[in-house]
Amino acid sequence: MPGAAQTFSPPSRFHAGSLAVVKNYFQRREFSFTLRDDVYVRYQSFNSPQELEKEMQKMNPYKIDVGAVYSHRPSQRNTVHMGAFHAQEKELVFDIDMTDYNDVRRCCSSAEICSKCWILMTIAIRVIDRALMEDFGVKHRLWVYSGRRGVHCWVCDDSVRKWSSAMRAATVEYLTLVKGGSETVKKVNLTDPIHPFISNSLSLVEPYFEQYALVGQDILGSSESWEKVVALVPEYILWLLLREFPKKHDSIQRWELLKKKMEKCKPCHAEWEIMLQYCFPRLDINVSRGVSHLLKSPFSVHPKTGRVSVPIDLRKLDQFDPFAVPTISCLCSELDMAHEEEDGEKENEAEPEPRRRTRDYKKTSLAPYVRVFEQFVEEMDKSRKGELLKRSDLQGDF
Amino acid sequence: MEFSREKRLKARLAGDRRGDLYPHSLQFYLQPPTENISLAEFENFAIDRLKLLKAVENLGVSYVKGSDEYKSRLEREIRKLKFPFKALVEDDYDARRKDHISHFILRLAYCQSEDLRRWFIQQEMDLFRYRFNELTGDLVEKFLKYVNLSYGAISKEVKEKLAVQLLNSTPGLNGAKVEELEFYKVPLQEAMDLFRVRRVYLLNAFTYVPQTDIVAIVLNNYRTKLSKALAVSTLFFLASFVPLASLVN
Repeated sequence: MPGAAQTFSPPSRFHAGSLAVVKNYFQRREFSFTLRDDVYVRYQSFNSPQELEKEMQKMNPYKIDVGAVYSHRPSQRNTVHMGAFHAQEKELVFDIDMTDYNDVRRCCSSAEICSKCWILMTIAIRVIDRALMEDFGVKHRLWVYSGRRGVHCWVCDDSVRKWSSAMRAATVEYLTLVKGGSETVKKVNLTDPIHPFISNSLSLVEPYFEQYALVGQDILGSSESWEKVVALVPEYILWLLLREFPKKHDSIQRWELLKKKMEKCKPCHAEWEIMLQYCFPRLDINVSRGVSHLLKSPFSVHPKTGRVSVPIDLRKLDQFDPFAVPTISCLCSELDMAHEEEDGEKENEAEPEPRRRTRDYKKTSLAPYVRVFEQFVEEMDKSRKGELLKRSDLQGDF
Repeated sequence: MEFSREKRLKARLAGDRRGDLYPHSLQFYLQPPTENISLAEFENFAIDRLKLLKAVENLGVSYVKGSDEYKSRLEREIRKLKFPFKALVEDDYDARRKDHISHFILRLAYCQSEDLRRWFIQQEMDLFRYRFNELTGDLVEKFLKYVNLSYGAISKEVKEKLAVQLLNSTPGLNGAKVEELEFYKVPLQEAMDLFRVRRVYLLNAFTYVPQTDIVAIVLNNYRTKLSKALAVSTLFFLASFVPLASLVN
């Protein structure tokens, strides 16, 4: 995992340590900066995490993106003969954005999110994370709040980092159930047999459906909204429901009616298809496919909201609140307060700068999020040490 | 007369070693032949294989590939031209040797242009597919091991445990078929075309591919190797073997 972004970034030593395995790995990593006035600078590379930090402080980028590890240092790509400079590896990433669900959420207009529709992100994380872990056997997954309307996932297993563009696209294809643009009415079509990926995902979606869709979004609350739902069932059931729905009182009752009618209509799966169309994760294949695609760095600050892109603790996923994520201004004032307190105490002048900064952010509300990140990196280090041990055992090195 | 008896005696004495050379009725043709042969044998081998590949092409047009009619006619052609056709036939050495040498001769002839390469690869793949599907019992697994595609077949116990998932992830199967077919554990990356469209069961970075689909994976592998080899052959052709051009025209 490459170094994190701003003044509040965790100590770079984590990243230097984790990346020491392969020669020049950090040095061949591409970073991009978005500067004031939307000036976009690509192919930045650095000799060390410290150098990256220094440059960040100097240039003050609004946004920092992380790209691939190339065959040569990106900043020196012009010295390499044509064709030789290419992206070698990169984490597999996923980007889930709330705007891709605009056709199925009624609570907010496209650019906004609220606690009601945030559940879609919770569902997305549960479904994709299970598949990555159980189906794809991936161990190291970091989920990050994008800072505004969505989440990112960084898959860091060594083998996955080397995946070709075709493998990444194939993975997204496997994980995709909702297909079609604005012209497509029915976006999910299930046929027997139902693949285990679908049934496993359904069992994760179902517990959230009532609270999210029937209560929160109230998708069967008015004729205007239930007409959209009913368009997804077989025609003869459609007319039946349009007739019966007005007699019921709320979305929950109407959904029960729909389920009952669907029971007599096997092998049709409209009930599941509706749940999936309204709740199933929607991935952006373009973000995941390209080996050289750049993605916003964790811990960077979102320019529009001021919120920090923080890692999400999966053990407390249901409690994650995007509106409680610290903003840069809030962190600044927390830091100021911490400094005021410190001025009263004896300060160790000889303490190195990075160490002092470590103590600094631990006093802010960023601390728990940094802890999640630290644990993630520790897991990767442990795993890598285990691999090295295994390999040296096999080779008989002692 | 005397000559051929002597040859047969020598062959029987050499027995085991030759058997090792061609342990299976089919191969990926990774190693070129290294012996000396007469010009007559060279020409005959090449012509016979060309006849075989042309028959493969014609049968593929006139009949549905893999149908009983297709298979029986193709077998007849293969027997007639004395190429290996059955996995378990003893003393198949001569046919297998002919198969090996003739493939490499035709490679040189058919690497000259993109069209020729495409034709050659297509017929060789169809021929390979036929032979692979004729492998019975554990010969599939033995062959896979031989070409270093050691996909292990899952045990009966594992299959029973995963029976429902296998049934639900693999189109075209029923309970009886799941019991009857072998399922192979293939790493994710080698079964991309299958897991991409969710036509296999995927668990912990392995796909569980039924016997009936394993041929697709093996063929893919064969095609990749053959394409690469043909590209290399082009260089050799340009350096020598101009007479071969007459075979093609």
